[in-house]
Amino acid sequence: MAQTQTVTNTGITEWVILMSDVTPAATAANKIVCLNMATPCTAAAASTFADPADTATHHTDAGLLIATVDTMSQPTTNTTGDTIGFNHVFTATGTRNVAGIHLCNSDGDVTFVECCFNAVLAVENTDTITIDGHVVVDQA
Amino acid sequence: MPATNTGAGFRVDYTAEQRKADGTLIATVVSIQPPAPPQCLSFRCLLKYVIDSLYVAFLASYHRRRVYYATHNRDKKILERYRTGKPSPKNLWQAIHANIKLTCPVCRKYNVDPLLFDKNYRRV
Repeated sequence: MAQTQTVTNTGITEWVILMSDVTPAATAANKIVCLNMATPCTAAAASTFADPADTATHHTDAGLLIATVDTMSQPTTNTTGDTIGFNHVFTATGTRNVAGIHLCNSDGDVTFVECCFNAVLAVENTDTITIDGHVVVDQA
Repeated sequence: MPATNTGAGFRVDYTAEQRKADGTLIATVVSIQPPAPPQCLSFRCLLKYVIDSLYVAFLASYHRRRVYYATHNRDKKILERYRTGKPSPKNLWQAIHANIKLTCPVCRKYNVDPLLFDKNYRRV
């Protein structure tokens, strides 16, 4: 399967709520978690925090669990400041499979972005995974 | 009010680098964007879309095999291009070559392209 990545439906809803401020419970994207699956997953807009792509689940240990993103930024792709940047380093503390990542809200209950790697990364103790991602508001 | 589709939306790009504790690169995962949909119904537009789709399919296949190969040879010396993903195939022809080369152990070891039949098996 190819690398797949998508903004989820729940993520769009959360962003709109955040922008319109109609529901104080909405929070911004600033957490990230690795997906656990033995085979490559396929990112889907219908995926949610509780139900990631295919049979993937969130890692809950070994340094791959949900954490605050190291660096959130607002770089420029087409128009000034039109991009959400996220950069994070996971350091594994055990042997695990990593099939992808979720970019989540700070409450840890909504997934904004789901990325599925093309091949499962077999990480071992002390390995690092550096994630560098961008979400562009695309006018093209 | 009639529905209006402006074509705007979100696009996601990412890379993921796996490294050993000493910083040695093991593999790099990169995102691949699907081909742009055709903007007209002429034969030329549709043909371009078909070629672009095939290119993305072969490119995705190459990167999938490359990452698998790199992660399963984490402690061996392999061509750096299979760890970094660079240079990446730029067109359909290069993507086909890259896939075939990656499946050929001798070609991988000696960095030769099995489809280039010149006298020295040009290294690419």
